[in-house]
Amino acid sequence: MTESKKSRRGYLKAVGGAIVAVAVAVGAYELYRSTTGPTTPTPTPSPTLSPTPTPTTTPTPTKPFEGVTVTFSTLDPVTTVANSLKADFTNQTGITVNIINVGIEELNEKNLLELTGHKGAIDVLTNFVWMIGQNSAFYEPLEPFVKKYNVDLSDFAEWVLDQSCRYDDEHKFTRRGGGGVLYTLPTGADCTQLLYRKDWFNDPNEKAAFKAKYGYDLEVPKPPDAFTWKQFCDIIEFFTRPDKGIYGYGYAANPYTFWELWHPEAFSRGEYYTTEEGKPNLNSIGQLEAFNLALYYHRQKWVPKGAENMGYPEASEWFKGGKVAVAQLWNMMYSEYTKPDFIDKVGYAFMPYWGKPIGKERPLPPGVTSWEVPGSKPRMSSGGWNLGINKDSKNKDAAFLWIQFATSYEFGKESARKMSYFGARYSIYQDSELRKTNPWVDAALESWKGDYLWICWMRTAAFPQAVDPVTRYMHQALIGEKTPKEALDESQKAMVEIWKKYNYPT
Amino acid sequence: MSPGKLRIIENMLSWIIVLFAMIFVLLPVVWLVIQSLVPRGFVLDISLKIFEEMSLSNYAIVLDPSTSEFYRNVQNSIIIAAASTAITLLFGSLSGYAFAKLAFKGSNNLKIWILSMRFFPPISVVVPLYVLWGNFQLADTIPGMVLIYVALNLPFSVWLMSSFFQDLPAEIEEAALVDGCSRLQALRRITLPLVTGGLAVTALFTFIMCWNEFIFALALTGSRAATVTRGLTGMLIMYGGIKWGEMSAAGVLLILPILVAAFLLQKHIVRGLTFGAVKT
Amino acid sequence: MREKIKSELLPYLLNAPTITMLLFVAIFPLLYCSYFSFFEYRLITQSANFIGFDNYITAFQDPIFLSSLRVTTLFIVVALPLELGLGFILALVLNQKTTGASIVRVVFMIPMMVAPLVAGYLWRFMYWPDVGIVDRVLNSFGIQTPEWVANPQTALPSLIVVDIWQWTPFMFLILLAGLQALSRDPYEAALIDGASRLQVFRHITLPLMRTIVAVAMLFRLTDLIKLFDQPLIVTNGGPGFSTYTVSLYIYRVGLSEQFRVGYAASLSWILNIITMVVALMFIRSIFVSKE
Repeated sequence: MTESKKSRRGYLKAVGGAIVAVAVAVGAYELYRSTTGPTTPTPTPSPTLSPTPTPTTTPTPTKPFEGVTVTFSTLDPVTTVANSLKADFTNQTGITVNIINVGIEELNEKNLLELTGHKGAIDVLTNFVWMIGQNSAFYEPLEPFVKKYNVDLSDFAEWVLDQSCRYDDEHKFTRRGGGGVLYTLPTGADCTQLLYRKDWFNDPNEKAAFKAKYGYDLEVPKPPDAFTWKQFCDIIEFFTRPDKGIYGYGYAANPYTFWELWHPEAFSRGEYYTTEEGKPNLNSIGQLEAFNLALYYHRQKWVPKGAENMGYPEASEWFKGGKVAVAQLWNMMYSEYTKPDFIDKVGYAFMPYWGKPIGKERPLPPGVTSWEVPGSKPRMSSGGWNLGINKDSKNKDAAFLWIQFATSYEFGKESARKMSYFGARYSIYQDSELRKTNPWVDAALESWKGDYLWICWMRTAAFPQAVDPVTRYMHQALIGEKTPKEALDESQKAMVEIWKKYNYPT
Repeated sequence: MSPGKLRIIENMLSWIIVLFAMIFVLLPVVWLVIQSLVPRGFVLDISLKIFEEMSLSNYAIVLDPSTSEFYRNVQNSIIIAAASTAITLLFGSLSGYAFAKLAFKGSNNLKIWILSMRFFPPISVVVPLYVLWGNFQLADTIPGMVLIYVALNLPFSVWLMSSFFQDLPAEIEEAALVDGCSRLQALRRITLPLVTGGLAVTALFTFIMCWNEFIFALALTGSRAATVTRGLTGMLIMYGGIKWGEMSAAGVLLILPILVAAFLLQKHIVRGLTFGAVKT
Repeated sequence: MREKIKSELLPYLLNAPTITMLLFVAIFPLLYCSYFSFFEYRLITQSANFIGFDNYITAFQDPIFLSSLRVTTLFIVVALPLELGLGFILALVLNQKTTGASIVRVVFMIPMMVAPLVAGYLWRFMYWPDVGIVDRVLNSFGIQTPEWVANPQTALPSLIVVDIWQWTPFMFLILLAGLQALSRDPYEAALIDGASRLQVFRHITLPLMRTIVAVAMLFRLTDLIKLFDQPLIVTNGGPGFSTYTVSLYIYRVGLSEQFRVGYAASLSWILNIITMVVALMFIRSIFVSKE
């Protein structure tokens, strides 16, 4: 009896040991396999098609890709428009489109999950403007397709093509994009603007009270003119009336959007994430002053209660609900304000700049040495969604045809009409009908001329890795756990550490 | 004070405590339901007027396949949860029976080992599973999620089923064995039918766990296998504003099936929660 | 003879599916996880360099990781006793009642059934200053309210309230079942001996409930260590780092923006070890006390 027990125990031990050994072996093999996969991040245009169209004497079929399915992952509002128009696309080309909707906060993660899996399950992916550095290694360069299908790019806003679509290693630190390889086509030309309650600003009682208190007229400058930051402070102070539940500035200050929303303060004095050569620039004197100005709005309580945990959706709700006088929002959020009951109440302007103050003198915020900075001009954040083809896609031509459709004039017009999401084509922005129902377009077009728009996040793959600790350090300064200088110094340190790992200049 | 009066005051006090607790428990849920019936989305100014506006439009929007993904999320969730529950019940009952009725070497240690699997924070397996499932082409697929959910629920199910099996008097099975059945036949024909209550509870808890599960759904499903919890995060906070009405409707839809099932099986739930720890 | 072997192998056969599942879906990834915790493995570039124990050393010097451990511990130390205490009080109160008890029981079950995700969104909007229902109710009684989740001092307590709302019912139900399963004999004997009610509670009820309390605490404790849904949805780890729990940090490091899978793996393992140590302490006390 004991004999068989012993041998059984031994047998089980052997089996158990074998299972563990197999598990470790397979794991090691998997790791080996996945790490010896494609490792080179440098892009090389892959010659999958000959750039010159092959002349044929036989009539080519009008729907060469009939029956092919293209999988497209994207977000709202593009999803809604794509869903409504995909039948047209199928009629035109015979290609079926399978549309997958992703949430905003997980787009990056989902894209990378797909791209690093190399299964080619998704053919066309939607990206934010800053993802191009990180994703370019996984995308098929589009220039050959553009040539093959004779696509005319001249209608696309040039700055959008530079920022969202073109990339190469020399242009990884640039503020306005550019680059030698075309990786994507743009579906959006988004930028931020300053929204204000036109009805409040035009109210004669308000105007009189403002003039009495600050010594100049409450007038909103027409773009490309803008308020100075000093005037901005006057205005948001004026409209802060907590007893009525109204505040001046709808500043969504949760850890992530807090940083994004003080970009105008920094950009308008020429401060970007890095210097021109690419050295991290988070704690320069200019950045510190801009930061102190942004913190000042919160210290003075000119922002709604609870702003520290609010994001863009809440900011939009504040503005819609009449709780704030001004807000900084992205173009794609304006569809709510183009509704008939609201359209006359909203005005659109440039974000302020460090210009000469007018009116009654205003004490400087702590940490700000002057209201005026020579050479300052208004600058806002820009971004633009764009579409790229997965390098592992099995239907690249069909995928490109979908991209062409999704960035076409027809698609853009429908998108503009339905969702106020205008795409990236000049012709749509200049359509007089659409401009009547979307008064923000005038200010947007003004911002496209000249150097008013800088990319909201850096495009190099190293940058997203810095974001998490850095935004929180800044948030700590907001809630008083760190001084502004400490926060920026630590942020700089974090960014320098990451830069060093990538061998970037420090 | 006379003991009788003390009794009455005590009684009242205890009822007040219960009342407050019930309000605290119910208020958020009631608010959720009200929000879901107001078509207007997020309500910054609540007034009694909203009672005039009530309608089921949010539910219509959320469940309409052409305007929202939620319908597909519900489908996915049902399939995944049902499949996971079925497999977990099967494996769990077999194991539970073995622990309860068969004495074997290492039984205690094995039981502790299985239970301890429940204690590993999911985040620690999410990262490697993300990589592994990608390599095995299981990422964002229904079978991939089912495998994970079965493993997630097995420890609890095994323990639960074993405690239910333990409750059964040994004589019933002995009688069958004496009559000439093999162990497996006895299990199938006699023992299992007697623990249907236990199976129901285990099924319910497993289903709830799969239905409500968030972290694996967030990390490991993209859009093809997205469950309702994932759909909720993905769908409703847009830059332009909060579709709070629709989100509340989705939230209520998430809760409803569970509540109904829980209500029907409440007695068994209480038993399940004690994992037979009272008796063991 | 074959019969005997078959019947002796049976338990192992019956357990085979379970063990296999757990091995492949739980143990295998855990081993894999420990394997690449020794690498610097960046998902984006798909490059992996062996760096030995560097990740673990970095982890113990990582101020954010340490802060997240502190936040998680603080959460547990406050939430667990509160849930236990409140659950116990409710269980004691309802133990005496027979009228309406089952309705109360069902109502109390509701928060547990609500997906933590939905609860998160729900409370996030309930906490909206001035406008959310929490403020509306409290302000109408004239109580001044802080900014709840926007204020670093009240953010964690606000999250704890959410957890209490959701899980006190769990404690309550377990403790109630335990109370109702106790036999009446020791109580009768004590009453005959003239013991006061408080004495009865301390010397009879509590010791008899030890096992149940330990089991309940064990499950709740291990759930709290993994806390992820609420901090993500309600506060996103903010303000600053004040509600940044360990699970949330590991998630951000490994799967969101940073994609430093190797480092995330090492953090996960540290968390695993801590959890196992704590859990085993509890399990031992449960199994030991039964003898």
